[in-house]
Amino acid sequence: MTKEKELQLHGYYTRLRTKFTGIIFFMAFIPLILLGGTIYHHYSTTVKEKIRNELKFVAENKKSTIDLFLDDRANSLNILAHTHSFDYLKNKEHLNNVFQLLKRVDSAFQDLGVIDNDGNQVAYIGPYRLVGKQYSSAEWFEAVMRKNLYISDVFLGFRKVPHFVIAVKRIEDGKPWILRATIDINMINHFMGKAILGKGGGDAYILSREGIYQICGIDHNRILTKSDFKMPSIFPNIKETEKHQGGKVLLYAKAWLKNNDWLMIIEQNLQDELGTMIHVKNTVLLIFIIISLVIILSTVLITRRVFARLEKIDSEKLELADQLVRSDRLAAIGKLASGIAHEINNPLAVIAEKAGWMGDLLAEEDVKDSPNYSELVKSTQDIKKHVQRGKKVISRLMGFARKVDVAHKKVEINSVLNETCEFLNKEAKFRNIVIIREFQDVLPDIVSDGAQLQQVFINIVNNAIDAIDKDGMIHVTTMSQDGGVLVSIADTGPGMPEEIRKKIFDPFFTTKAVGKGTGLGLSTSYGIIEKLGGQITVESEIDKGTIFHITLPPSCF
Amino acid sequence: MQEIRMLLVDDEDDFRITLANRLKLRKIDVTDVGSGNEAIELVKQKSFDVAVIDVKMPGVDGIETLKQIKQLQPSMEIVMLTGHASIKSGMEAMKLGAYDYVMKPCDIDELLIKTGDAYQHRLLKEK
Repeated sequence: MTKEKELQLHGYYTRLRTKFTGIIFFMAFIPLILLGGTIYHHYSTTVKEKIRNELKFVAENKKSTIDLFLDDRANSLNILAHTHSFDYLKNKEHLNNVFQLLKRVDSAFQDLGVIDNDGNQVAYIGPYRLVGKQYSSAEWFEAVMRKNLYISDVFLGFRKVPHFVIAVKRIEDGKPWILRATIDINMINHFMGKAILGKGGGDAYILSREGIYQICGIDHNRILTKSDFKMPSIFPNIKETEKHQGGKVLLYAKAWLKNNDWLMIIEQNLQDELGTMIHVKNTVLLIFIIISLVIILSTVLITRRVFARLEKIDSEKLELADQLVRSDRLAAIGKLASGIAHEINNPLAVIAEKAGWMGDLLAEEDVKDSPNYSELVKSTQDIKKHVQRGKKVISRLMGFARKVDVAHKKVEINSVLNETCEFLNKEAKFRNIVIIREFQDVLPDIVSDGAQLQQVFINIVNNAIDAIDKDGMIHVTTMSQDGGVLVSIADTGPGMPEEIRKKIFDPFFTTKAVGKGTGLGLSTSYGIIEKLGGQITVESEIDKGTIFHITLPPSCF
Repeated sequence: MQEIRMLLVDDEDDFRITLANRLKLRKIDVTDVGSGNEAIELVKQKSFDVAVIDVKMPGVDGIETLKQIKQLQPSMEIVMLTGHASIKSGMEAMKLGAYDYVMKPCDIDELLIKTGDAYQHRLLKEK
């Protein structure tokens, strides 16, 4: 097969392989990516849903807890106010008794005061001296007189401790009076602190309707400052919102408390809760990478193997086709040649006889005196000579074409080659050509026709000598191969181009000057080797030389 | 020396007649015929020392002619003319009783030597 064709074939297969690999990657990765993406998406949605539900649950819980807490305190005060008369509680000792009782039950109560109809604090138990304080113009006083119950927003008050006030009104004998208590917010702080989910990162706080921090959550400095939270309108139950802020996703659960006076907000950073998600993401990614690597590796390896095999098969097929074409062509040429040889031979015989007859007649005396006598004699002799030449050509052509009987004898290739080299050494030395023999010491004996092989070797080595012309080397190598023998004859001649290389086994093809070669040497050699069951191939590179490879089977049968 | 009585059989007239003339010039008593049948008919009537027969002829070919002649006159020596440089057909002819073969185009001297040998051989056999 020609090198060009081989390269072309190789290029074709490389392109096909790349295409194939690409398609396999494409087909393998698309489902992988879809699967991975879907699993991840579903998982993250589920986890998010779970976090939301948790958040909602906590918010509901806290809302009812705080509402209950406030209701409880208000109820306690109401019971106190309605089970004790104004006159009874006016007494500081009585009031103290009641307060101690209350405190024992509920530590959130900080103080207790009784205020009369005009806003005067008539009795007070607590850490401050607030007896006699006048409240008639205070906002809460007006509110409680109007609504019977009042729960204030959180304020610092005199003690600089955040707290709020609950006040209840009782009408006794048509005269209203007020029982007022200060409530510590620690309890609510405590509840709210527990509202933060999981690992933290969240916040839980309460704002007044004006946006003032009532319960500060994680930042204690915020207490009673104004929040920049945009206050929503009033809604029942729990409302959830989501806010994207600088790459973070914040989940909010909101609820109105205390008759819609306070807004409870529980805030959760989604990413903080998605810690497990990152783990899952990494795992999915790792599996993806591993599978990808496996796919890539196996695809590349498998396609490479498959294609190498395909390419080999194809190249062998091409080579076989090449050989078939060549042997077909040679067989056709052989047939043609033998036909021509038969047809030419008879006229050649006639020509020879006629020339001979002319020669005979010229010997008669009456022609001898002719001035052209010597020319005529020479011409008849020349005709004879060239008929002989033609006969030789036909004879060799027949040698190529006919089915010769081959001998089947044990042949020692090395000794046959030694004889060949000895035979041609003189000619080679004369032209300063060195014949180097590199024989494998122990070669298997093969059954073949030594004399015919000798002719082939002489032909090829002779050609090599002619190719080199002067100064060079001829390497003759032998080695065993598949039980038979491989003989390689390499010369350092000028090599030959592809067009010539293709034709060298054709009969009558010669590059030698007219009359120097018949163009039958290599075609005969080819025929002989074929008959002996072997193969003869040639490689040639311009300016490097030419190598003939002759493979001979263990037996020519 | 007595002239050799030779029968020349070849279908190619130009070749046969020219060769016959040349042989006559060399003191050989040549009778030439253009086919195997003619040769066989002639052999039935007349005796020859040596026959030179072309292997490849239309109709009755050289090998067949050889067989027939050998039956009619077993003592006659036969030299075959083989065309197309085929040693094989020459060898085959020799197995069938031919004395020798000459390849076409033949050299007249070679033919003379071989026919001369054949004639000597015949003489020896007769004694």
